[in-house]
Amino acid sequence: MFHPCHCTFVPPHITDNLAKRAPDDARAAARATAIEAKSIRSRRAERWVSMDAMLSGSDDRSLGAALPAEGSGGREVWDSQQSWVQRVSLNRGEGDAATGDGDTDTVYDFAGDVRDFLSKDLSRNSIDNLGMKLILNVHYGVSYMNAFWDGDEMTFGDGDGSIFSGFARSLDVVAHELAHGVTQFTANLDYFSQSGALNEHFSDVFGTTVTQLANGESVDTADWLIGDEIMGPTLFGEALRSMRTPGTAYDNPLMGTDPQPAHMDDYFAGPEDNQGVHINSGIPNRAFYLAATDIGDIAQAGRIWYHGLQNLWPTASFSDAAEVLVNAARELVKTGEAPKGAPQIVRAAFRAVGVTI
Amino acid sequence: MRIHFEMSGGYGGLFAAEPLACFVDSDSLGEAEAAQLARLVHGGRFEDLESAAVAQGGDQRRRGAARDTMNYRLEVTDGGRTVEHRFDDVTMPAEVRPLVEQLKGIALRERPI
Repeated sequence: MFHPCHCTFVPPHITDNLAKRAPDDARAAARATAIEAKSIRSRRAERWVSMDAMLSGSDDRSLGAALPAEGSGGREVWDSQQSWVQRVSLNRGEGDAATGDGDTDTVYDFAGDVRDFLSKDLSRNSIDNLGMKLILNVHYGVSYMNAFWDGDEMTFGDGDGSIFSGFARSLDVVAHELAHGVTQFTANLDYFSQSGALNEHFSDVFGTTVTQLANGESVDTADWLIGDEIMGPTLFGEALRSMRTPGTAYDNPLMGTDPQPAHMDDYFAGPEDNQGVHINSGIPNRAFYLAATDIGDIAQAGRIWYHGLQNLWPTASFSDAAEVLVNAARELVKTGEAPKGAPQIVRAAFRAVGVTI
Repeated sequence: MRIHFEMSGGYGGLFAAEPLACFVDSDSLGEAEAAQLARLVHGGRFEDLESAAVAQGGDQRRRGAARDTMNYRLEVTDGGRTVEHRFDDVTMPAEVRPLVEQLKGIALRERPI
């Protein structure tokens, strides 16, 4: 495609193809960038440990918590102590005993659940497939009603206790944020417009997959809600998103009406929310719900989607994703990891939400 | 001094269609409240923050890789001059956070539940 206002030495279609076909190179580059970012952050953030101690994974008992070694996939739960700073105080390292702090111990367990899912169900060694440590910050800020991934770690607020409860206490929140890391080290989907909505979509896919498996739910008994567990007493019963019926998760004066579309006919084209990354994710979310319930097995559906994610690229569109996911289903049918008919189910699911394929 | 504050985004994609917002006119506040607001604005050096400095807040790689952060828009009009900045949880300069939290509280109180 000719871009009259943007000239590059290497044409975009070639760089896109490189991104599609060199996931290992991209992952290695992302890993190098993450290591660089960590060294930058170590000079900036307050720490109770020296950089040398962190890199060597030495067990500094004077801190009361052990630091996992690099490449071990180990967990570090840091307490921001209601400050707006990350990595203030290390509450619990990999293998340490429970601390008694609910958020610390819950997020530690949930991160382990997600790591186990990546390893056992997807044969993936942590976020970057190279044993990246899982660094989690709890008690961030004051009444902070959010959780986020920032490129090398996850951060959770306590909520205000009325509208939202603690974000570290929800498995689908932890899995969602951790999955942003997986996407970063695989497709690295650009965070705006359709590629950004896909980025959000894959995080919801893995959030709901991990939660359903952990809770022993079937695709028919699961509620397919995202964020219902963190609603506080003021909005109890509401949720943030519904994968089954996008647009119905909430309707109240505080939050307004759930704006998610369930079909391309209602695609959000405005500039807000990075051109709707949390809004238009409803469309592929509904497709995943349809595919997973038709396949009848959340683990198989999750594996198809993970396989597809590894073959996507930063600028992928909904149509691109649909095509890649159908191909992923075909490959997994060949290996026996998906049932016969799965490619047709995936194709039908995307057509049902109006995505061209 | 007049302040227009907006917040949206985060894990929940909150307030995407209608940002959580408040308009504050210090002329309508009590003396103590107006003084506190002025302290937060000037203490945050908001009016002196250059857009480039705000945009580069937080290391570059984290800024590009951040997902599900809250997004903020802040516009301050004082003495005939209007200054607007946009940032998120990663790019927000630390000195601006107290002002943001004050305005967020006002906006939430004004929003019906």
